Formats: sequence, C-alpha cells, structure tokens
Amino acid sequence: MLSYKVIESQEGSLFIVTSNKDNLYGLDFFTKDIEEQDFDNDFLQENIVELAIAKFSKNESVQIRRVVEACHKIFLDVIKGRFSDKIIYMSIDCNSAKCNLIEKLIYKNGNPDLVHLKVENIVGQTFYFIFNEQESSSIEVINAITDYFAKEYNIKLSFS
Amino acid sequence: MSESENKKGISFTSNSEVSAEAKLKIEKLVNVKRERLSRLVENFNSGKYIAQ
Repeated sequence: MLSYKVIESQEGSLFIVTSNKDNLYGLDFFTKDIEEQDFDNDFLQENIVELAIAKFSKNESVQIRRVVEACHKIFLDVIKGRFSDKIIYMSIDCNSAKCNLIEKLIYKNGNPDLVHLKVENIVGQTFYFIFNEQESSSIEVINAITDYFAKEYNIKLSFS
Repeated sequence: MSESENKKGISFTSNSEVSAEAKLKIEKLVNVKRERLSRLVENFNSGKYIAQ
C-alpha cells in the first residue's frame, strides 16, 4: 500500500508518494506570482494552481495501479481541501509515462465532482485542467481555456 | 469538428496549424516546466524534503 505525506508552504502543497522502502513521486501543487503566470487571462490567473509531477525513486519499480490509486487520493484531497475552488493545471509531454499516469487517473475517476479537461497534442504537449465542478463552473472554465488558446496561440480548439 | 464528452472529462484538440510564434511560446513554457521539475528533483536529492 502506498501512502503519502504533504509539505505545505506559502507557495503550495507538495505531496510525496511513498512506499515502505522509498519516496517514489513528488506531486507539487503550486501557485505562481502574476508576472510569472503562463496565462494572460484574468480568470485563469486567479484560479490556476499548477502541478508538477516528478519521479524521485529510480530504484524501486511499483505497479502503476498502486501509483494511480495514491495519486487519485491526492487529487481528491487537493480538490476538496486547500485548492477546492481552484483549477489544477499541468502540461505533459504527449505519450510519456506521466501522460499515461494521468490518463489512467482520469479513467479511474468515479467522482462526479472532479472534472478533467484536456487539450491534446499541441506542439507535443497535452494540457490538463482538473477542477471541482461544485466550486467552478465548467462552462466558465471551458470558455476561459478556449479563449486563452485562441488569443495567446491563435489556436482554435474543437471538441475531440 | 467533432465532439465528445463523458463523465470522465472533456477533450479538445486543434487541427489548425500552429504558428512559429505560438510554438516558441509553448516551448518556453515547457522549458520553465522542466526547470521547475529539475529543481524539485534537486531539492529531493539534497534531502530537503526528507528532513521535514
């Protein structure tokens, strides 16, 4: 059974997924100062919390199913706790191990409040936005993201 | 344009060509992300998180 510990700071929350033997992954949920933000959009700037996922252990091989279960619990903690009214954002290299992990996490999710929105394969990146539908309006989030991609990158998004 | 939405989530894609300017912006964003990840792993390797 994997467990996790959390290190809180002003900037955000770092969750460390651990086994009996080792620290396996770090899930760093953090906010940036306005001038450092990726999003030139008032709504997204106010509501985005960025997530970086790092694999710490190179020694221990763990079943992906166990990692997904631990990450799912973390997401539920985050989305119902400190960042309940925020949108968790991450960009991940397409077809990478982390992309595979997030896809499995999405597939596993049975919580109707947890909405996953993704923008697939833009310059080799997949952008994920995860939020609590009880706290954030899906329509508002979708509008902000499509508007942002149109204005910032001149990319017109369509449902896939 | 096609559409799909289910209880798991919503997916978007784009069939339009990405401009060179947009590619540069996204590559910059990716580099910032990689720097962040490197710092995270460096901090971990230095024992910063174990001590807490």
